Amino acid sequence: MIKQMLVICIILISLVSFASADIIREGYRGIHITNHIQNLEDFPDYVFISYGQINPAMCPIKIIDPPGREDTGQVEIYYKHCSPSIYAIPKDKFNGTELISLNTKKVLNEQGIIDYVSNEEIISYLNSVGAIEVIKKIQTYTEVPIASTEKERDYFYTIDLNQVKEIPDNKKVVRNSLVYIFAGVSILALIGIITAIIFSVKKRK
Amino acid sequence: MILELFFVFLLTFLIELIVYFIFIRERKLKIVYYCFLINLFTWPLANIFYVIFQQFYLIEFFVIFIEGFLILLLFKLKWEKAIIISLISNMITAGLSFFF
Repeated sequence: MIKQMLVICIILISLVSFASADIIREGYRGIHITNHIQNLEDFPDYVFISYGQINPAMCPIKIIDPPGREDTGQVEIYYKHCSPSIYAIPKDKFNGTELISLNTKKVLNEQGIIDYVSNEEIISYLNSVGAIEVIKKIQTYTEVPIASTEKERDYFYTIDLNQVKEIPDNKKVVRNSLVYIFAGVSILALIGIITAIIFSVKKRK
Repeated sequence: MILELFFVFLLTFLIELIVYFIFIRERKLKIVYYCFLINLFTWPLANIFYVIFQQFYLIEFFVIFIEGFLILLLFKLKWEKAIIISLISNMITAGLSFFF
């Protein structure tokens, strides 16, 4: 009986902790970060992909600018706990169908349970096709205070196949007009306060 | 989001107004008007500075000091009383911000 209760408690606690992982902290709100690779056209012999590092079910492999889509060099948005890395795969070794099928492929794992392909297997596959990591752990989501003026962020990368970038070369913050409204309101209130003080001083005279 | 911010401002204003009513002997309308002006000046500034510096306690300290100074000027109270009114009203609103 105690064992059963213990198991139930553990399950409940893990469910609660999993649920709270998705909750935005009190007083904060989430914003998206769009990551741009600026010089994809410099590498015509490579296909660029992003992969989220946890597992392909949660943070799938995505092709950056797949055929049929305009060349933007834009990395797609991921679930907030994913920290995708960007890989360059030589075109002659690239098999898009095989790569994308890894996102949904299920295998028998070490515990004898049918599960998605593990992160290690994905990394091993990427190594086998000569993938080069060019950007490590990009952010696609962050949280800012609720009164923050930040609307969204754009991070820009210029890649080099001989270097693993960890920080963007340029950052752009798109802000909403709240800061100007706040400042304007404050100035108006200050004018009101000064007027009231002057008025009361004159009245006393 | 605008509505949420407006609600937070309104709540801050109303709470501080109650404290002003308890401690200040003046015409009610005058208290409402000055309390509104004081809050309209400090609340948006505090939010902007919080976004920039993320220093809650430091910003609250400055808010208490500035509001105390404004209470002193507008209601012509002794500085000790002005600071106490500001301290109490801001401690209540700051304290409530941890719960809501």
